[in-house]
Amino acid sequence: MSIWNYVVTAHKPTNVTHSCVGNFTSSGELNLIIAKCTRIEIHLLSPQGLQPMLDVPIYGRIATLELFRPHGETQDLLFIATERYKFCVLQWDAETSELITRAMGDVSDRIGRPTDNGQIGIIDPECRLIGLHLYDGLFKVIPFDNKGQLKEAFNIRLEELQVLDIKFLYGCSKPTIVVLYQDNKDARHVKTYEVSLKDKDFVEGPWSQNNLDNGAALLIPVPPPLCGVLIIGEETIVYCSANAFKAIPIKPSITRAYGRVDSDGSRYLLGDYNGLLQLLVITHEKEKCSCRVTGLKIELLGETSIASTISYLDNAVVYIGSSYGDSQLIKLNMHPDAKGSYVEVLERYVNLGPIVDFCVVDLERQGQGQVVTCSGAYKDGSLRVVRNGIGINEQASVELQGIKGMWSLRSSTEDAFDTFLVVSFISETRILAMNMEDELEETEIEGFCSEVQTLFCHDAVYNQLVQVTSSSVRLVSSITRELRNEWNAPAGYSINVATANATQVLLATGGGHLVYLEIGDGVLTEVKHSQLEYEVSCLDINPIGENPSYSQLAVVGMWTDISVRLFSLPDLNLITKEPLGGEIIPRSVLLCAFEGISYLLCALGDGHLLNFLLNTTTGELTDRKKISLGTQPITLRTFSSKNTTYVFAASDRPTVIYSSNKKLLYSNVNLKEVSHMCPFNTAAFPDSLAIAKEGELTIGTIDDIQKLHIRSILLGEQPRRICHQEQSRTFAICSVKYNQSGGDESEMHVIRLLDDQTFDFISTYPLDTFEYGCSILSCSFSDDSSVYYCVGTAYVLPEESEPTKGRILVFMVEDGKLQLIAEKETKGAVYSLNAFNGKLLAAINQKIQLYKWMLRDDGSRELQSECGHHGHILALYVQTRGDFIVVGDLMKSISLLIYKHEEGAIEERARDYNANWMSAVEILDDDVYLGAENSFNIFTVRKNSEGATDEERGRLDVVGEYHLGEFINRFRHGSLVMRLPDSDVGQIPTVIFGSVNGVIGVIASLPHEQYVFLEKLQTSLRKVIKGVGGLSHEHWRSFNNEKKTVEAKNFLDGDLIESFLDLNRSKMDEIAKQMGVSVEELCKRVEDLTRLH
Amino acid sequence: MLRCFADYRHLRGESVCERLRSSGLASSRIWNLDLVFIWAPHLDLDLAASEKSGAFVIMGSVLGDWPSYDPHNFSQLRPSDPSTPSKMTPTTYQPTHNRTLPPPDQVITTETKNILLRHIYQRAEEKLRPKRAAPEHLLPEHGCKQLRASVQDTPC
Repeated sequence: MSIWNYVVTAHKPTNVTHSCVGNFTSSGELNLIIAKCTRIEIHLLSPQGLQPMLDVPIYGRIATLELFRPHGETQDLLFIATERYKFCVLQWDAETSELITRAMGDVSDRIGRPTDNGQIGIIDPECRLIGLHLYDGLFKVIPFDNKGQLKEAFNIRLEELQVLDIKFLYGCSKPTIVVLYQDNKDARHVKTYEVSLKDKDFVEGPWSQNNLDNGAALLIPVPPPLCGVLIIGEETIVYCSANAFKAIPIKPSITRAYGRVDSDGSRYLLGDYNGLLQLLVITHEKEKCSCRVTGLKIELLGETSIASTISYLDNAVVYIGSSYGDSQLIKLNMHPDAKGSYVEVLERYVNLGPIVDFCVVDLERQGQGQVVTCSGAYKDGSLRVVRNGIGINEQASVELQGIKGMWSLRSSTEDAFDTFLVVSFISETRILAMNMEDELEETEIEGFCSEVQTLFCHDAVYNQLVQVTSSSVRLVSSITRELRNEWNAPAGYSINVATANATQVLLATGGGHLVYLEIGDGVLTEVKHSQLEYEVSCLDINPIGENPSYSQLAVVGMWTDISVRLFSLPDLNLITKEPLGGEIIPRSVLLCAFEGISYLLCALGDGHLLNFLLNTTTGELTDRKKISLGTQPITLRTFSSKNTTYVFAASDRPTVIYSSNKKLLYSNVNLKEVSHMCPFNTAAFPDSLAIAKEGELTIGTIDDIQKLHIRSILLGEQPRRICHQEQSRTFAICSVKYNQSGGDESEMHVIRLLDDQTFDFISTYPLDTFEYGCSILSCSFSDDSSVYYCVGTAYVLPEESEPTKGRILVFMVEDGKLQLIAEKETKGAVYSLNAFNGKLLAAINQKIQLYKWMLRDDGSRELQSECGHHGHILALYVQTRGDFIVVGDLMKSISLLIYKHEEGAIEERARDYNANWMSAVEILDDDVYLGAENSFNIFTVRKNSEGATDEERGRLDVVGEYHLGEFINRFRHGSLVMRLPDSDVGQIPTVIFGSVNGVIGVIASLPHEQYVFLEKLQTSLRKVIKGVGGLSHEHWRSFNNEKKTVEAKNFLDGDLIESFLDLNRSKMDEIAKQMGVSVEELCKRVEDLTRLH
Repeated sequence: MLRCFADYRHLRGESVCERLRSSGLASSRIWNLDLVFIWAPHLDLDLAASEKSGAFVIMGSVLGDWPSYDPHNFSQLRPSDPSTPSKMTPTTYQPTHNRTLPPPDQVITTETKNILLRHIYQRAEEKLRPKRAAPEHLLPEHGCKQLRASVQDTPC
């Protein structure tokens, strides 16, 4: 039963909604603060650019973000208000690097109609009060006292009901607001009010201005010495103050964002809905004691992403935050480039939002899902391929069976690149090398023994190479390739395991003999010998100290007592013995250092990995953690890429281990099974890896090391629906192209066919004028082996309130072209299409309609209506399972229908009687269905087949409720990670969602026992990890819409639970104690969950 | 309502309120730029000014002299390859300290007194004041208000 769900973010929101600049982290530092709906990011301006400092989750959707500085403060404070009527004032404490809450509160009113045009939050430039417009007809005031403390808030009645914008005016002796509003004849005006704090009321302000541009929607207050306000319309820009009025016409456009450039308020950047960036200048003359505005000028600077927020940073660098495309860091140049643009893009920050649709596909056929999203809007529309894990880009590959080990060697100590690749097999060793043609060919190193298996190889000092076989250690000149010295194992003993670095060799023979050798110029010296009580299973002397060619520590894994031991070198004294517990022997150990922290990694024979913090001076091992990487023995190897060290864990689930922000991270590699890996950095293939897998040797480069990889395919138009067809290896999308030729704007809707590898457009089918593509599906029908693309459309006519006509188009991909095979007119918009029992199920306005695929006498095919079901407001989202149909309605939540074969009819079986406005539905299992609605909540309902009465059986019971804070446009079954059937995590069914803010998330249905455990953990974590600004997690996750607010149930916040891993040890201990399990166990269970995404 | 939602579905790039907030406009307006424009007769459009100054002159005078807080900022930043987006990710903040809660007197609420009642009392107070100056004029007409004013001291 999929009732107990775990919700976690795989890709955080990237839609930038607000930004501001100020001295937040210190009085001398300039910060950029960005809001991404439910998170804020604090950046520091530096010579190198924007330096990210902190990503701060906020328990709310941010409605207002403002920096301000009360009197007497040396640095700015941050005011944040959320859509659920909470606010907080945050201060940066530089000493502890913490955010502290200066004030917080609830600004909701019991009655009041929430504003249509969004919430407004503004702060008086003199810091006398904070003004909030949250409900129509009310202006809320939070006054400051003279010490900068906030006082009790009060409401003032605001006569204007349709408010478009409110700002505080500068330079007024009493706090004064300017209100832009629309009257009941749709005309727009501005009006000013003084706020009288004493009377708690408005006093008529100094001026007003009637009959403005009909599209006026934005006010920009102008600071002293000019003061006044700019009113930005669609066709004019007006400057208005008590004693001046200036206006200029502009090319028709909608200004979406502005950023002030100069502190005297003479220049502003304006960003419009097409991504054009303009500079608005207030020209003025200085008079004796004041300034007189003489006019306005506007100049086009160039094109950026469509801006939702603009922040001028410093030295002509500007941050463009975008909701519809990638955010950007741009530079304003003095001179135009070849295209006449003054804008130079310095950096680009990926934004997946708004994700309007996506599909989950396995393009590389590796059993791992990739998400392909329809992202962005208007000209910034794009497809994004989102993939978890690290890809290997194959450069060369050769069939080679039975590889037992691989090492790369250089031809001289000074050489920057590797030359040889030593490949060991069960009874021979072969040497490959790059030849002059940059081809890999077999060669020989005469001094090596090639008739036996090689246990270990390494470059050594003095242009030497070391080879360890079961009988001896050979030291070979890398120049002459001849043997220089050999150390033989004592008679009767064979070497089992060995390791080496540039100057040292450590090996173990049968009987627990540990031998330590040092490498000289042409000599191998046995320095120390030690006998251990058990056999050695693995060992390592990777230098992690100051000397990169000499290690002072050796780590040894043991059979029998299942322990790892640390020895000092060269004297082989035992420093630490760490029993591993359990019965699985360590198979690979590795000393490594990441970001200046030393670790000991120990891989077990069952695919588990233990890691310890290692104190290199005392040899002490602490903070033991265990995670499961796969199910087969793991081999650990280090490699470097772009001057950073990584560890490759070769197993049935190859993984790259790396560190970010001093925390170890595990990223899977998109390969099925890797038995051995070694870095192979050649001149022809720099930074490459040699990988042995499934009877094949591959040389490849590795992607950038990060968890999620995003490939962007910019379309220049907005994709709205996407679907993949395995057979033709294509994607089909419904897309809208916006044309702006002259002053005329038009949109054209098309169906496009794309190659699923190159993402090139290979065929286009234009839709009729006014015809929108609403749904798309790849399916086949009974009695027909062909695969088709079906597209549902609607004719959206300006005079109709709902579409009354649409089409279903059936296409076949022939010779890379979309061929229209059949077409069926419908009596409304085809909002959804599903393959259903070899037929086609369509949701058309109020109706669910089933079509048969019929063969006509002339051999052609047509869609023929079979049966239908009425009774929806608008059936928008449909999912099917067997004969069951789950419908998400515009207003009437979820209903369950059943198709009756014998009668050829569709009947309603049950419904949820709540009035949820749906935005997506999915079937979790036979009985439980998942829905998302437009107040940013998700919920589950359950079919009640065992109900005693018809009434009970006809009701879908709400079993889970949760406030996600994201507007979900699509659910899809699937997984972003490779699912191993024999791992615990592989058994957990998951659904992926995509949201307007660009969030990709996972909803995992947990077994009840695990749910109960994690719920307890969540409760404990709530007490330890506090909400920033004092906002409550419980309140944030409570299901909330216009009608009700109830506590979250049967959903867990995975983001909170997984943040357990970021806690320091003492907090972890505290929680583990409350939970009654060991920290190690708890870490492992949470670590396992992180592998769901 | 349905009309609004028909639009919202077609443009479902964002939720209704988000879209409205970002544009401050009804959705239909985005597509419909040829709006009726109400001109106020006194609106003196500065057409001449923007036409006579050539682009070059404007650029020369207004583009440049960009404000600088710290001249070093961005001085070493080189434009990155536009095809590779920036990958810097900040650490996620997990406060475990106790100062996420503000000082007790800084937990702000809205005064509970109904805005209408407050208004009535204020008016009554205003009316009462002149009453003392000229009681013979006001008392007969505003007897009831005076009565209410006496209630003001009781908590509401």
